[in-house]
Amino acid sequence: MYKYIIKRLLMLIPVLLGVAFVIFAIMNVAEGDPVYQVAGPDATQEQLEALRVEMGLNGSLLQRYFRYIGKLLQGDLGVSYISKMDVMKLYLQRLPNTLRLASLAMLVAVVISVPLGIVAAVNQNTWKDTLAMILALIGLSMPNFWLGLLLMLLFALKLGWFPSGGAEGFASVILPAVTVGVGLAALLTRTTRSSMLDVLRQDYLRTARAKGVSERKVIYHHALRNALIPIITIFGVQFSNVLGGSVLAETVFAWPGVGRLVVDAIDQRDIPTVTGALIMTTMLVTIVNLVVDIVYAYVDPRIKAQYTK
Amino acid sequence: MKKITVSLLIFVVFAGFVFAGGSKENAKVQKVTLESSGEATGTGAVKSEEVKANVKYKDTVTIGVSNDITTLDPQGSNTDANMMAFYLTHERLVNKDPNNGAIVPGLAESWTVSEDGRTYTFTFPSNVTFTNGSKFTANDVKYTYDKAKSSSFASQKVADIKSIEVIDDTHLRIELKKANQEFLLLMAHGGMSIMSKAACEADPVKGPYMGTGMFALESWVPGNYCSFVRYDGYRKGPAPTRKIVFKLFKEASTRLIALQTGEIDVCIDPSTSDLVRIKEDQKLQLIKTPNVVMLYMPMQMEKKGLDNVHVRKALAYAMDKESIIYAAYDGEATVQNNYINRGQFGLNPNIHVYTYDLAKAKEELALSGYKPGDLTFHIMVDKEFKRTAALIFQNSCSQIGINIVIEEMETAALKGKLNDASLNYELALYQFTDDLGTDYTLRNQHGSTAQADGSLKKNGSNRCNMKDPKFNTMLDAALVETDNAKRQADYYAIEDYLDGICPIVPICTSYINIGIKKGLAGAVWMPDAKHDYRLIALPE
Repeated sequence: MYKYIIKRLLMLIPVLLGVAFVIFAIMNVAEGDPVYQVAGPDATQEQLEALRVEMGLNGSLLQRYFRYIGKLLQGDLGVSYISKMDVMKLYLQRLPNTLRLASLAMLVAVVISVPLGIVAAVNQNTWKDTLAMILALIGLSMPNFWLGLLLMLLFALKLGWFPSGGAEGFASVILPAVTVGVGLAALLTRTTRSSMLDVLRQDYLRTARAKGVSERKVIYHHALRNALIPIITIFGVQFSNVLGGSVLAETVFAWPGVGRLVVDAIDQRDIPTVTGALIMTTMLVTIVNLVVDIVYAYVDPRIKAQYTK
Repeated sequence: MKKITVSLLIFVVFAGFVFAGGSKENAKVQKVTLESSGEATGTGAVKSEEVKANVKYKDTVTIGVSNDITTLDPQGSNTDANMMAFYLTHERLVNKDPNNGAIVPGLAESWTVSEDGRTYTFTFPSNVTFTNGSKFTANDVKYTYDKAKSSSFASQKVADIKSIEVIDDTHLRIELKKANQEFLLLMAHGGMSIMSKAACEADPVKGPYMGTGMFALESWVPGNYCSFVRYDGYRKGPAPTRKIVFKLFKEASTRLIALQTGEIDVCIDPSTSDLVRIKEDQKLQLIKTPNVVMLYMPMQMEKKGLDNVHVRKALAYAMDKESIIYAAYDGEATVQNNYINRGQFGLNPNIHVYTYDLAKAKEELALSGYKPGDLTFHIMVDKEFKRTAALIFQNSCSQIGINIVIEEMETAALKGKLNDASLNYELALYQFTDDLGTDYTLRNQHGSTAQADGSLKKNGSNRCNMKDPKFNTMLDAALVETDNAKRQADYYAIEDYLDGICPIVPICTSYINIGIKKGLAGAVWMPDAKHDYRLIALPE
């Protein structure tokens, strides 16, 4: 098992190198020379050239890439073109906010989707099943910035229960987490339902019922456990997506997360911040995927046996 | 059962489409005439009520902004968001009086000007300190202005300085290369804020953040907030509010809701469709004043077709400014016809106006030698309202036989194309906010500089790529003219000259809208969006 984990961590290196190259290439192809975002209108040609050297924009794409990788291997993500702050510091300022939002959003998603999916599966083709799927469809279809504004109007403005934006205190994360969580719950609900339906048809459950096991135990102890693999997969994918930043929710709620950091940096052609933040996010996503794979092993011993081969 | 459920769902969705839509007509009917509140001044600045000695004010005022502070170095930027911060932390030698635009003492308590207008001698108080308690001297001014020569944001403002002599700690002499009637106005700009030589030399990145102003930086989290605390050692007495926080809310609706819930005390730039909500809220007040952000269309004068003055005039006559204001600004803007901004010295009140007239546009096109259908121009836009304006312009031009292709792009891409030395563009919808000296605006927007080989190179913000030696000569003459009446006449003539060349099409300026809590005092709301918060205070 440990060999498997170490192998997965070592695979991170070529992934990061590839990600860095792709981002470099894209940002260089994008229109809008970064020098003009930083230099004033009075900049002379000499000042522009000096700025280019200072910003590391001199040389070919490959030369700049290798220069960047050299610094990356020393743990240096560079300095923001715009704020002149260390990119790692900027990212670490935002990361706790993103982790808070992502964790709570996933909790909201799981609390809504798993029971709803189980109810839908157990009561297949009844009004409960239809209602659950309609709710899932609404959650999937509703633009989350619209939901966010509605929640803000009701709970922040009308009722005054939560703040409308910002990241101060636990109350400030509730509305953004519900906004993001509802959207995530939709897909998780459908996955839970379909996975449970596959498992509920299995013979061993009929045997369990014949042996007199209670229906509650059949569903939650026997069926759900075996239905968890696809649910965990979708959970892992969604958690990774949310770690990359929920830009719309962050914008609506003025939530200072990683998503907005990256989008604002792209707008300003702040290449070091874009590259650094995406590399850090890639690392996080890889670690999350690794954790998901490890969880598989504990949920399903057959998978653990494969890892130890 | 399933059929009933599906039918019900379809009905709900359909009803949602029907009732959720609104109409422009409804929006127009609901539009309320909203007057500016507070005391309006001659320059268009609006002053909130005065801070009173017998009133208890809150410890902290929070301002919700739509644009992030990107630097606290006065020579590192000229955006409105950053300027508001510089006005809190730094001072300039002189200031521009918001009441009448006159130059008044700032850091310098007095000054004299030599007869030839080339030498300025400034006197400073002896009790000025920076916000870390260190003493200010005239050397800090020399250091700041010398440093400005290598700044791409400030170098143009000190270009005319020949020498700076530190006489003693409280006296400084500046000699100019030539007389410049706008020198003091340039020194009042936020980018000329005085920095500490010692602090900058000790820390070139953070040293410039400190000034002699009423506030010092407390904490800055880019993309989140920036807070300033009062400097209790300020020589003229401390500010009424201990702490000012600029909190970033990119989404306009969220910003307004935060004001309505009381989380912020000032909402900068709410959405125009939400202004009625501020007006209707008894706890809030709407500040509204015309701004000086001029939307205009530069025409790259070295591109085929645009190098012909009749083609440029045809495009000017085809610009339907009223329709653009209605469609792109919800009616909240004013037509502009001048080449400098409202309130600037020498604005020609009798300038010839290129009114929307397709018949005249066709006549000009006929004079150009081009036939309808011969010309296609690309116009660059970066925001939704500019796209709307471009669509209206495209429609008008199609009626006179000029084809307009709209190129939408991000702001960074637009800036890059406009600033790139290749000048590979034709038309654009852009804006400028200069309301400094008239010479500064005209020189930047239309002037050019002679190079060593005798050729002319366009100046920084000269998007129309105009290189006209006669124009430069007229500007130079006006700049040194000491008789104000003659100088005004000179600028009228310059505007007439520009009008004859038609290098740009001025379109409109809109409004500054600000939502504040009722009772907010001490702030000065500026038409250039660089609001003065130094004395801002909110009663408890």
